[in-house]
Amino acid sequence: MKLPEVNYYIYRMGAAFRRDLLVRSAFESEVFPTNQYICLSHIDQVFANPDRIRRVTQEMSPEQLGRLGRAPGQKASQIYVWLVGHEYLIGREMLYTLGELGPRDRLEDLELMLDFYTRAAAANRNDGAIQNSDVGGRHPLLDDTQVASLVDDADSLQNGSGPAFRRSVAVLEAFQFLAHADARIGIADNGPYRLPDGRSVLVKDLFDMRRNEQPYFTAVRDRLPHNALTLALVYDTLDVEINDWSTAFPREQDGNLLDAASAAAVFAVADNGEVCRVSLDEFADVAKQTRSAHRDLYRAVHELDRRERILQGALVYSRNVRPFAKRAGCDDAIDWNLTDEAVSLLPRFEADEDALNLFVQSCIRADSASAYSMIPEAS
Amino acid sequence: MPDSTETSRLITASGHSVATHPPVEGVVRKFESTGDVAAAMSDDLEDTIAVVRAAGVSLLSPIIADVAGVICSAVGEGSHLAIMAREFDIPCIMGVETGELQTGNRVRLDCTGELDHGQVHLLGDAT
Repeated sequence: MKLPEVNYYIYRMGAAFRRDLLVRSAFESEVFPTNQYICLSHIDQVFANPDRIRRVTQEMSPEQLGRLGRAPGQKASQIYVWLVGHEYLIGREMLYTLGELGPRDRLEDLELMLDFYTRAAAANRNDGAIQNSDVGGRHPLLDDTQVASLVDDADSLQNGSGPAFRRSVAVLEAFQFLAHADARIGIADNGPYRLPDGRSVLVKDLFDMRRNEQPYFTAVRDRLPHNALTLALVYDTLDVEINDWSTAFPREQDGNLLDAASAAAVFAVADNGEVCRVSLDEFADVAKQTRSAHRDLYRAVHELDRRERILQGALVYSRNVRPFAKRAGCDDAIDWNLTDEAVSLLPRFEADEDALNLFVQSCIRADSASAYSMIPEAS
Repeated sequence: MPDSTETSRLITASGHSVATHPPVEGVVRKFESTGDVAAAMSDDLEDTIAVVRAAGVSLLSPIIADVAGVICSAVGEGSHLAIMAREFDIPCIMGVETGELQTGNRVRLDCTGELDHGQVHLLGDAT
């Protein structure tokens, strides 16, 4: 990838990210020092991820990895593709702000990361786009046959079962937030899809429910019956936007996507990709087990001191290449620990105000419509 | 929704309801740390209005399904807290100046009108 193309993608990705940043709330949590672990993990990716990607792509091409993610319940897909591309750029911006990196430093790494991201992202969908915002907030991850197989024989939610189903989904989502250090990366929405009968479908994947990267998760490791679930939600009418972070929002502000679903089908997705239907009764039982596990997980988090919450929280993002390495069969060949270079910089943004300032100064500048800096020509 | 209590007073009109919802009344309980929430896990919370500062969802996550409502001082109708409140069908008002609220106050959350006019009425102390 040559410099004009690098700058084209930097601007295009940065403009989309900046727009999303301006409409969402601050990355703020009272459980995890979110801004600190975001800064740490994103900076870490600048030091570590290019070599990880080099290793992964020895085994599989970005196109292969993107295509293999086009199935229900896959972690190496959707949001994780986005994370690998964008967080590397965010980390570079933070290092520019800290004076630890110049725009032309590590240029080969930058070209490599953008090349991987754009090729994997394009292969992870079927519409020629690389991010959902390119096409008005859609992610056509699955093909018509896959969608039809998910909604065939879906259970009606119009017989009084809707509220219980909605609460079960909410219980699982709340667990996934806590399991992922208050980040929404254990959940990913895709679609919307139009069925031949005119109805629409939104698909929601939840993964890493039995195993994930956070050491505190060992408190509930293997507690739940399924590691990944896929929910197919059927709508008579649906007006939804899926942002670049794989989060579906109703375009109508007061809308509730779960309330509006007329039918649903739930599937467990095994590690080998095998999809197995889960009845709504079993799903309710999974939610009940999840509520119990959630409280134990919460107590485990409560036992962590602040610095440990930063270091463990950082792993939700710093290991974003790992799902692709697992798919490519080279997970064991890669060091997934935080780099010493990144951890040594933590004192510079360990205070709340410093971390927020670093993030804002790095990605939200008044003089640019893009969150990311273009690379200047060599002088 | 007119005030039904003569002594009630509107303490803010600037909150943003995350969804329309019938009015609810309850007793304010401020949650500022995981310790506050962990201590509440075994309590009966059906009459509790949880007051939080940030819009992340994890702080309240073990108990959000059990409380009567949520007041949050941070803004963000697209926040994770707002999403979860909608899905649990819990009335939730964001962007409220909560400094005047104290644990033990009885309040009514009114999310019946326009979303950007969510209202918190201070009704007095629970006692």
